[in-house]
Amino acid sequence: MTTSATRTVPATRDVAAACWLPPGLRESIDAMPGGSTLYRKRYDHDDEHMEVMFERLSPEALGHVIAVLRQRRREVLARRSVREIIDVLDRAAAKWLDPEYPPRRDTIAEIAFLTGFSPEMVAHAIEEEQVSSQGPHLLEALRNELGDPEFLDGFRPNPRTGGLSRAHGPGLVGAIFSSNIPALPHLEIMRSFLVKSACLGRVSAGEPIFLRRYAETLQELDPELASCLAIVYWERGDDECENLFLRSIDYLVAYGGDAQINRLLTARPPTLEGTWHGHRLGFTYVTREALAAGQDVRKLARSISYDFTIFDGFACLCPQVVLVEDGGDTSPVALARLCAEEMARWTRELPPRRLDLAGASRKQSFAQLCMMSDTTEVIAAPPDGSYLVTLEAMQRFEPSGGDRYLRIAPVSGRADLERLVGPLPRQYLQCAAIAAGGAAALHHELRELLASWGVTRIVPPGIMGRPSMMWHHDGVACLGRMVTWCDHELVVPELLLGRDVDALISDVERDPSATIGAALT
Amino acid sequence: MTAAAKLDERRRLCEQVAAFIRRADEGQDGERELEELALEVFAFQFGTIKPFQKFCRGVGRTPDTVTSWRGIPAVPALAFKQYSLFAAAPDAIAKTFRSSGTSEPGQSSQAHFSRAGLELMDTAVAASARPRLFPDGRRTRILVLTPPPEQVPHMIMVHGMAHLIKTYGLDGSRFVVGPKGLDFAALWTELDGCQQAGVPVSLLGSSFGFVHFFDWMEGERCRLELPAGSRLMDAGGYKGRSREIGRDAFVSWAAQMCGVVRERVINLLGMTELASQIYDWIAPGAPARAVTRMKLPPRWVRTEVVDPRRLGPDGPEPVGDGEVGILRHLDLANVERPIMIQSEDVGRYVSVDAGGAPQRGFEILGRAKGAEPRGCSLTAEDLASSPLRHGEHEARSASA
Repeated sequence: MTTSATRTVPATRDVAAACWLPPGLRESIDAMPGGSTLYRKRYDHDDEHMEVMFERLSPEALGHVIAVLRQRRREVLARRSVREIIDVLDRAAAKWLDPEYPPRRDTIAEIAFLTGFSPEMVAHAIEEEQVSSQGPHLLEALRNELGDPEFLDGFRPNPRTGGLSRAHGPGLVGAIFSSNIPALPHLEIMRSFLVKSACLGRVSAGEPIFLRRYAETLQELDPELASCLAIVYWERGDDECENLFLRSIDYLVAYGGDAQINRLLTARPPTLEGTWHGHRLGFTYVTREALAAGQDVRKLARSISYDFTIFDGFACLCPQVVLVEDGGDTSPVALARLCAEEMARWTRELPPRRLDLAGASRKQSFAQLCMMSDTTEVIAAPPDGSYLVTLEAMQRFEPSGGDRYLRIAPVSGRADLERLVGPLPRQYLQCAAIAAGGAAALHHELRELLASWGVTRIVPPGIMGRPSMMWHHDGVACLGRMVTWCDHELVVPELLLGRDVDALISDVERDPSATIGAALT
Repeated sequence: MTAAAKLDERRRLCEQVAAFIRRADEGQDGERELEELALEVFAFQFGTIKPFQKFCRGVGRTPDTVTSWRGIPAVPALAFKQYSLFAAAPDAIAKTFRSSGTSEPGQSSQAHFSRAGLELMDTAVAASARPRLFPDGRRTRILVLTPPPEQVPHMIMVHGMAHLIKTYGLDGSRFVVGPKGLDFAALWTELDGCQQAGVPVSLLGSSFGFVHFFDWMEGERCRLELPAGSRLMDAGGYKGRSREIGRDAFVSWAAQMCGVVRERVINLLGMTELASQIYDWIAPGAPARAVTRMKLPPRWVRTEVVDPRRLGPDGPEPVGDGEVGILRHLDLANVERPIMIQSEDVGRYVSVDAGGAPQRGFEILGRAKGAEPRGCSLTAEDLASSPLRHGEHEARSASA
């Protein structure tokens, strides 16, 4: 727990732990001589500090964890139905959505201390993420990517193949987490369990709290299911652990910057498949139609400002720049002023992260450098650095870098959009918020353009930081990509079209010998 | 104000500040005069340095509202990388110093000086060295462990050291690094010669240059016993170098390797953005004192330790004794460049009671390097450094 210079250093058992093993596995690792080495990391902020306990497993111990997880997957996950699994995840979400859930308050305080995010922001993040972690969302996500979720429970009729289909998740999903979005990493535990894969996660030292707390919730609700999960840690550069991890898992999900992703791409066995969530870029585009008389421009400003506020802008989901067409009834500078007012309002509702001395100095200096510029107009720069709003003509797309820096660039139309966004590396492009008024044709034109450049999510302003579970995360069907299909085809292709395939399938199921007959008819 | 009037004003202020420095060097305190001069220089810069004027308006503190030097807005040192902060037309620039070898905009701080500005800086260089580096008034052979100004004309530290040679050096004083680098053996031979001949030496150089030289000496198992009156001055620190040495350890090591007393090992803080330098001040008397050295600015410089998170009417407020903050310097000798500079150095105030005369200076603890939280969002630098461009690597999609 958090201690200050005046408070006593907590006893070992009170120190927050980053890693988590199911109780049975914990006992066997503790019984292995040299199986795990505990050490504390100290997180300082001014005269306060907090310690978090990490542990490094010996290669033998990590190997044992991996073997047990695989076994538990066969014994537990493989025997549960998807709906049973979803039910537990749904109840976990309900726990975390309950303001009275006992671990919630400590979790928020600890994450806030370690990451610097305000407690209000951490609480908000937990709300947002757990709402979309509820059972119906998970079920829809599976439907969205697999069609029928029950393909994961056994062979099911599949009219499209004219037979039966079955989907299997990987045996063991390995996940490497990042820390920039507080309380998010449970997403990959859910995705693993949804496809009935055991999950071995490497927690990030930047936000080492939520994963263990979430694991404890699963343990509280369903110890059997929780026994398919382990949260471990190794230091960056500990190649021995990392290589063992990469060699032992069946699927990798990795979050991190370019350097981290590139390193993992090189280090992984070439056959190891994975999903990579690296650096991403987002932006907001406001057409003059959205700024026409009669449009609720105040609401638009509030929505845009929310997108720049959530996670203090330190998420791939946050926009970097607002491109605003001139020629509307509200000018870009007028919109910028409204955004400044709304940024101030959001600052009160969701206070910004705590700044250390260096961070505060840099933030202040940055705003001051903007003030000196001939080409940038500083619309709002409160002395405490809580946010910054500027307006400038942009020659090329220049990300604001987050931290509640709302950077507005007036543009004259689609040609400028193409000039600024078109040349961006497509693997970086992610979210675009579009405000284009009510004309469907205009929306259609814009989304075709954005998708062709590599944008993977288009939303109205105000929900950029709140993706649905159904989003093809970074353009990928994350669940669909994890599973391997087995299709039992019962009929020849020419019979598939123009026939009652359902009846055909049930006939063939009743009498498998009919397969040949069907083919020969 | 016409261009000619501005020119006159700039020259007049340079001369006035130079006169103030000379008087301060003679021991006059002049707090009131400093206040007046600082505000005058501020008003002049507000009228002549356009980005500075915009900045002052941005933070809401202009000559109309600022009544004390403490209220003059401090320009972030970083601004010298992006803007030309010079109180005259470009054709008045006689010399430009840079914080690194590159003149690429945004990469290196650039500080412009006119002829009058260079003269003023030279006055400040000599006046700040006299009481701290040469308090005994003794002439020494000054050997500088850097290339000469001709080779590195952009380095402000080398310019200053050349002026020290000119003002305080005996015959034979020189820069010892040639086009091929520093010949340690030759330097050692020269120092050994001084030792034999009883010529006192002042060894000047960058902190890291000394580390290399002492490493070499240790490898060669040689030591120096420099003649009485010898001294050593290192500038800067070990920022971003592979090896870090504590200040105290460096002083002991240097004293041991050169055979000088610890009190003759002096560190200097200089910045490309400042015309003045700040030397170590050594408490006279018992070395058993808890604090025996600190940085003590000369009288025409004021250093404050501020916390940007504590805001008062004059911007970030100074911290209390012992608390950690960011260093901010008022340098009267910066007549042509913003007079108040906020550095990226972290430090704290240090007070020493020197035999009934309390002195308050500061110490540097390091750089305010950013534990900047980084998300998965991309910054301009990432984008600029990314070799991947649209179309080139379409195969490497998000799920490649």
